[in-house]
Amino acid sequence: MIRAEIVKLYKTVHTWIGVSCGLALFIAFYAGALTMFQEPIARWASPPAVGVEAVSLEDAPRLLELVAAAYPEAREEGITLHLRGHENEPARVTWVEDEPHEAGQPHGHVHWWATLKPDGSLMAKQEEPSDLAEFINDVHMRIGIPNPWGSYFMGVVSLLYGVTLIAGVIVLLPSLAKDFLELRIGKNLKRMWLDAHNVVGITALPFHLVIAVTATAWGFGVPLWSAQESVIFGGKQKIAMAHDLERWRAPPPTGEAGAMMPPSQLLQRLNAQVPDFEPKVMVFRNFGDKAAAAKFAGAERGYVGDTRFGGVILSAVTGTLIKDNRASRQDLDRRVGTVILALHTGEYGGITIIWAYFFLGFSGAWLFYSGNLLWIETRRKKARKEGEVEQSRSTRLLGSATVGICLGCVAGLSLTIVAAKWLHGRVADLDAWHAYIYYAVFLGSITWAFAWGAARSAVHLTWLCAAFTVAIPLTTLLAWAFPMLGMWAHGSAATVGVDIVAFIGALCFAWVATATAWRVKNGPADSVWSIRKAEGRTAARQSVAIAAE
Amino acid sequence: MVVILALTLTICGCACCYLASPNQKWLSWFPSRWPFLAAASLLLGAGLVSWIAALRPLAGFFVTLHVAMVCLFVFPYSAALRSFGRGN
Repeated sequence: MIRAEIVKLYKTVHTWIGVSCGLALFIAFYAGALTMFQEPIARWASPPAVGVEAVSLEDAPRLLELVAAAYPEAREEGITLHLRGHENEPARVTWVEDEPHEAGQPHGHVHWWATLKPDGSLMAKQEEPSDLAEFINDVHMRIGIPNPWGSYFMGVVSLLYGVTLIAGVIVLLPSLAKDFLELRIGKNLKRMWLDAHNVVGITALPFHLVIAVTATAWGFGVPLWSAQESVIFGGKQKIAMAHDLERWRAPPPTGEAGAMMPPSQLLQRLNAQVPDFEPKVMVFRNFGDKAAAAKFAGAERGYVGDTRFGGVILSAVTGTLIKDNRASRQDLDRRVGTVILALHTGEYGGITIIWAYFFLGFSGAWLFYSGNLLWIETRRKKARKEGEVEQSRSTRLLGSATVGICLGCVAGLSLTIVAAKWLHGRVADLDAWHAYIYYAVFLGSITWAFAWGAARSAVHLTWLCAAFTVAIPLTTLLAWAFPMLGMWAHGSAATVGVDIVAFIGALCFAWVATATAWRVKNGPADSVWSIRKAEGRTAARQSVAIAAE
Repeated sequence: MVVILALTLTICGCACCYLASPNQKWLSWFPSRWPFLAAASLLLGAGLVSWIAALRPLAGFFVTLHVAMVCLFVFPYSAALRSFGRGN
């Protein structure tokens, strides 16, 4: 039996850490849930290009030869041959080149794709791919705060999140068996929010613990690295790392010309030597050289972390296996690291785990949102016991901050997804516009929430979320109906899936907005969630009587 | 096919687990607890074995765990939404 004062202490820890970190964690979890569909979103946002099918795998050798001859830098950097034909793979062959820079200085990259014209000659084009999915991931990892402070901030928040999880479990222990899976809907709003919060927190506890530990490690990755360097490795970590990286490195070029094996034959050799490996792309290093290598990136199904750090390197001349870094071939220490990181990112188990993590991510966002609602509701009760009708400033401010930040994040992400189609070809730097749009909506929502108060703005902003989210499938519908708009409507299951999920999400937001509108008009007047004027102590007493019933 | 079987077994196992709980809200009456607990154990065990057959032991275990986590918070919410819809 845990002593009451210990439970009280942990409750204080759980409450205050939860309230102070909850809003940052909401953003991280909501954006994190979306990143589970990073690839479908990238495909949805990518304009139609030539496509992989424009050059068959049999014609790929000629295309590779022409690219290697015309763009020698690509031979060294690596020429990627796409095998799947997704919308975000603009052509059969792509490569990346460094932007002009001084030696040793940080620099950007430019992306190229190439295909064959009908007459068999080379057509190459420099075109930057959509960074929308990366932007959402950036919001997920650093909630929009620039590096390195964003990473440090989220490292601290994740650490505190772990502490608050443990504190929450200790608080719940005395009533855990009795209240497990209990969700009571009724007039006692504090009990309802507490149950809604506890059900999600307890049932998904293993997921949250793993996320807290791995996110802390990610957030503090750089300082931890430096500490390891001086404490454990004594300045030799870079050497150890370089040795470790050797297993992913293609052999250096010899300078002698070599005849390249056609990609179709290389795939056959891959299937014969590594039958369980599913390649996504093959990257040619030092194309045309005797030591040229074809690096296959892909997944070894069935393993946790099936795509992480995995890959196989074949000689592009003979097709023999040079290096094998599949999950099943990793050392024990790397395997453990891979498994832990993959449990954060959900890189295993295929589509089932993607959906499971998607729902768990949303449940995490809901956990922090409901935690704040619970805090506000708890404060409301205390105020009524003391005979006050006017809510305290802290509850009003937290109510506005919760509504503005959470709904601002949701609305901002939805609108920035929509912008990928509307602004393509109309603005010079679309990636920058994704950020402008997100922050404009996010900051505007926060301002709106503080200006109008939690109750009114909750209705306005939930409708805004519904409108911006339904704009995702509507944009596709418009693109399909009116091609002159210059947008696109891909027909693949993955991209149509994005539209369907967004439509369902918009319906959910509309339902929440309707319910919220009802509550602000008809709910108890002495609440930050009401627009009715509290009518003094009489009204407060009536509300207490209703709650007691 | 094995994945669909594994997913069905896991979801059904969690449903039995929820029905075995004294806090379940799907049924207006409280069924006998032990048959549902036994069914939940069998179904979740079969689900785990199926996931392991479809993937590998470690991945199979984690997929079962995560699907179960989703089911166990979705089921109480589904009951609450039904109750909310009825105006209770």
